[in-house]
Amino acid sequence: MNLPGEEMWRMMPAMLPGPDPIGIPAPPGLLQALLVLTYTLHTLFVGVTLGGTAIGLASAVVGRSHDELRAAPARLLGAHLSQALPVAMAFSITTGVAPLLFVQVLYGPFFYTASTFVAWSWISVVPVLIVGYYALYAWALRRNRGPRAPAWGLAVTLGALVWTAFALVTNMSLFPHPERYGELFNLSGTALNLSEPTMWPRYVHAVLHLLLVGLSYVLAVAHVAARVAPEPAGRVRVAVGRALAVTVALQAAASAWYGVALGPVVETVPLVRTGVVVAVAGGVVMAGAWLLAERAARSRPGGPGALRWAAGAVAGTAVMAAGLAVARHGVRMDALAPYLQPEMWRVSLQLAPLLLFALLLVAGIAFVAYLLLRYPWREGLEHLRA
Amino acid sequence: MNYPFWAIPRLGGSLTVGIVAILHVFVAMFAVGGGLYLVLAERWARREGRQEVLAYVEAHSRFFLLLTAVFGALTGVGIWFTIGLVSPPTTSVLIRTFVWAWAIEWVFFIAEIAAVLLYVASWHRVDARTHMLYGWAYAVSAFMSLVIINGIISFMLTPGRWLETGDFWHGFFNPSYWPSLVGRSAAAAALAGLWGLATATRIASQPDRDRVVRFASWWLVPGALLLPLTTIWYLQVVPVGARMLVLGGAAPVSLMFAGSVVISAIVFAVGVLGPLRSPRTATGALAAVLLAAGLIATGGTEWVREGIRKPYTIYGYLYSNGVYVWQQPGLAARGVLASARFADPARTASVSVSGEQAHAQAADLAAGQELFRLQCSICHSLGGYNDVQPLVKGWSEAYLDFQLAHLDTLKPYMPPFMGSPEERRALARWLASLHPPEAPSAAGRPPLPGEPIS
Repeated sequence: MNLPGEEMWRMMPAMLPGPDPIGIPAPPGLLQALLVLTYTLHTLFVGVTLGGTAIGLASAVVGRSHDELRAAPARLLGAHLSQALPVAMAFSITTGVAPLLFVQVLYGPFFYTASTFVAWSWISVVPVLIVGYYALYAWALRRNRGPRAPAWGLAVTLGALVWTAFALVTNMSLFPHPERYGELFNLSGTALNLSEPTMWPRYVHAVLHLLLVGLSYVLAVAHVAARVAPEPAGRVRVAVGRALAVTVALQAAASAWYGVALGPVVETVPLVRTGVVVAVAGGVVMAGAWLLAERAARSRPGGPGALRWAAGAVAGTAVMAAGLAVARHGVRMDALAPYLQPEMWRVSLQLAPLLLFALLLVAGIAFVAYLLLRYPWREGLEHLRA
Repeated sequence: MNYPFWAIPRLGGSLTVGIVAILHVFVAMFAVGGGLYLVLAERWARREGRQEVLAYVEAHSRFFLLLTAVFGALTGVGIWFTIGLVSPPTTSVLIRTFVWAWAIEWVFFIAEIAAVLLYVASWHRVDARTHMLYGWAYAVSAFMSLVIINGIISFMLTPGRWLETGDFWHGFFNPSYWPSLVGRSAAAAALAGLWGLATATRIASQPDRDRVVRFASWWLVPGALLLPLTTIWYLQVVPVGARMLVLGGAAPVSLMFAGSVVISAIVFAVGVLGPLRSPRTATGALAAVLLAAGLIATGGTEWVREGIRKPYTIYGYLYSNGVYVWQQPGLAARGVLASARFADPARTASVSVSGEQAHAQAADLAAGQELFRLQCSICHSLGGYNDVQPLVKGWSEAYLDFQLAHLDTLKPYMPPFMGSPEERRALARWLASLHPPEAPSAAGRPPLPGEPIS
């Protein structure tokens, strides 16, 4: 069996778990790539869910007005979000499984240790999300019966998502810092890592990023919806466009705050630098493409020009998310560098299972794409007209 | 010993894992069997042109989505979170050994979620053929997720040749893989039938309700026929020590096993002999009782499966207190408190001076408490689930020391005591201190010299 030597076990400093006796089943580079890739995918779905819920809540409150000019755009948004948000939530959860898996493979000893210190907030994610998910369905099912569904369901869901983001950031900002384990060591699992200098800027930055993704998604929906309901879709486009501009400005400020809290690592660590450059480039593409899409939509709402720019903006949003995932990974690797013993990433390659996974992943994606292609999506667009 | 510890008041770690796991398994098995139930029910309704039955399938599919995709999916994540907190070494072994199996299961999850969402959303929006395709896509993906997770779950009790080779496939297709897969498949079908029965009782038209009740009851038959056989098969392939625990070696395990068998038998008997033969006996109340009994039987079976793995979490490899089997000799020589990564440093020092200084007894008590936390508290609590206090009531320090010295031979479901003889004595002293000898009362003691005799 793959057993570590007793000597190595003893060499590890206190308050730092020893390496696992079992090696990792693939080269660390591959596992890190999968981690970053699946995490990016996860943040995109969570962004749609969180941002969409926030917009849905705002529009549900505004949409209760008897003024038709204000109610019609809210109805349009509600009709779409009641269909889309439960789906986005389902995929937020499902896509979250994979990055968590690769985090545990690569950083298990650190991750498990930090998790026990913040155990209550960490485990609370599960019941909180169950409540938030059911609240979302409660709203969506009521909304499908009529546009005046009470918005409390969305408020509960938004609260659940914001809390979940907090709990995740708490753990993820703690585990790469074993030097802080002694300070937070407790048996009751009640620590929160609030004194970590990067914790709050990271959290604010993460929530704003998710909001930005959600706004970008809704803006894209508004551009598409302009084909069947140009008037209310135009109002949505303008309102969400403004919200997006404000969020971009806030995100820039939060990025500066986070950057200052992180210190020189942003410039000195190549992986972080690359990630930041990619994220900024993605953000610029996103913002620029939205401006151009708006311009094109003013002359021809829902026209091919506007839709092309909107697609470019969505792609820019995805690139920004990928850049941030790379940068976060770089920050984590830099923080863990002094503690990562070579033995922790000893490779015990499992080639056949790895190839089987790769094969099934490709087949699975193709199969899901086939299922999606058979669905009558155009009916969804008609549904917005109604 | 490698990780810190999360003290869960009252419940303790093992019961917390158990509660989450039982709730999840009950719904997750429905998610597996229910997919096939939906698609076969839809095919039957379409072939016979029964619109009300088709409407029932549609309503059932919405309920199915709300229960399995929300509660089922999130409690699955919940088990993962919980075992990661309660037993990090076990979680780490499962993750590192089977990361590609988990990843493959994730692919099936994605297909499963996409398919069930499309299935529910596309009623009346696509042709029957496409709708059935979505249904079959879900049923197959859900079953495949069982095929994968079964290899990991069954590995924990019967790692088989993996112990020598460390090979993925030896661990995955372990000795109990097939009986476990067949048994779980039958149980999944039975749970699909029980939930189907519950929703069928809401059908308005009596003839159609009778038809669907009978249809749902048929889903209990595979379980009634196969589960007794797979249970015997399973018990044949598990380690002898585990089998002995079921067959009288540990009274709570044996009783729970017997209880699960009896309750399962009642569920199958009532389900098959009742609604299958006379569909009108199926009321909402009966369905609810059968579901509750199904939950108890599922919980009991899972509890027994966890129980017979003791004293290991991964049989023959990792003890339930997080110590690898190969670590034990080193711990006996070096001491647990000196080896544990997250032991209280103040208490670590105390045993080494015990017996040599004036405060030796207090130091031993402190060390004993720390040893209890490190070695015992994953299963035992103080004042909560599996409370250690009644278990040691009336035992003297010397007797406790003897018990600890022969722990695994006297109680085969317990791991051996790990640590030095000094640590063992410290733990015995602390355990004895939980029930200090009562001071003789004035009424019960013999009279002192000079006292009047009443």
